[in-house]
Amino acid sequence: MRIKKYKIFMDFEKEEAWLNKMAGLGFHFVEYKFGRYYFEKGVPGAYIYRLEMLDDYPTDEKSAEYIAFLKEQHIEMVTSYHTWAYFRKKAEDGSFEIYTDIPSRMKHYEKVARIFGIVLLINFAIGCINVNINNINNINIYLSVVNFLIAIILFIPYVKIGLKVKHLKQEKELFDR
Amino acid sequence: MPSNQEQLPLTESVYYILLALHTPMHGYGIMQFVKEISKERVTLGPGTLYGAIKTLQEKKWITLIDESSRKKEYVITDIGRQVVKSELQRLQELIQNGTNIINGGCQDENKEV
Repeated sequence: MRIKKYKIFMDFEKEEAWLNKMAGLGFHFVEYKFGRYYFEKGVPGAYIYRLEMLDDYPTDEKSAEYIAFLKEQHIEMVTSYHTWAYFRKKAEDGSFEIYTDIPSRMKHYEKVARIFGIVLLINFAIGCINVNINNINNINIYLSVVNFLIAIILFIPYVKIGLKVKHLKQEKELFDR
Repeated sequence: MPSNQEQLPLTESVYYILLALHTPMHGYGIMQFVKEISKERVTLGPGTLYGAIKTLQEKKWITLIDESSRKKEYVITDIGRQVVKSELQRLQELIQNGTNIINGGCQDENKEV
């Protein structure tokens, strides 16, 4: 049995938590298409899911090498979306975290924040350009509203991740882990 | 090249990875070894382990044994051995000083009594 759910996440850790909650109910995430999550019915709690933003697309050589490395450790890439990879591991094999120390967790957050920041800035810049273009039917004004809206939507997770990085930096001053 | 002292302290993960690679191992083997030797206290996530392996390779503290093999096996280099030795000395100093002070070896206190 396959079920479909519509959802949009801005926070990948909330998305991950939701996928794990669904897995706990016996719905195992198998496929993603923009805003749509597909699940297959199975044994409740059989898998632990983790999300990771890779450096390149999963098909690129560098990412493929990493994915193969994970496969050796019985971790399966369920699907991917742009550079986001959805991994899962059988829960019976024990706990599953991709990053287990502060430096590597920080690096991953910073990678995510960088992408959000770039997309945010691009939208802001195009928004500004569109505001200043005079057109008979005002289409550029409407477009600029869309750009600014995207920039605002991205700003919230951008700040949130920034705070997480700041918190980890403080931890790092005290703890070596 | 910076001296060994400047490269310390090592993170717990790196220290244990370098210990593990005194015997040639592949990624999964390292993870298992570290889990066992630390009595399950230290778990290395695959992302953390992969990143560390890449960095250690760049620093030439570890090296790939057989390029052609499907499962990549790594082993510690001479530079790597030197680094672990320095780290061990540093840790011994920490233990020595900690033991002296905490277990009543503090001389100033003794004088008061």
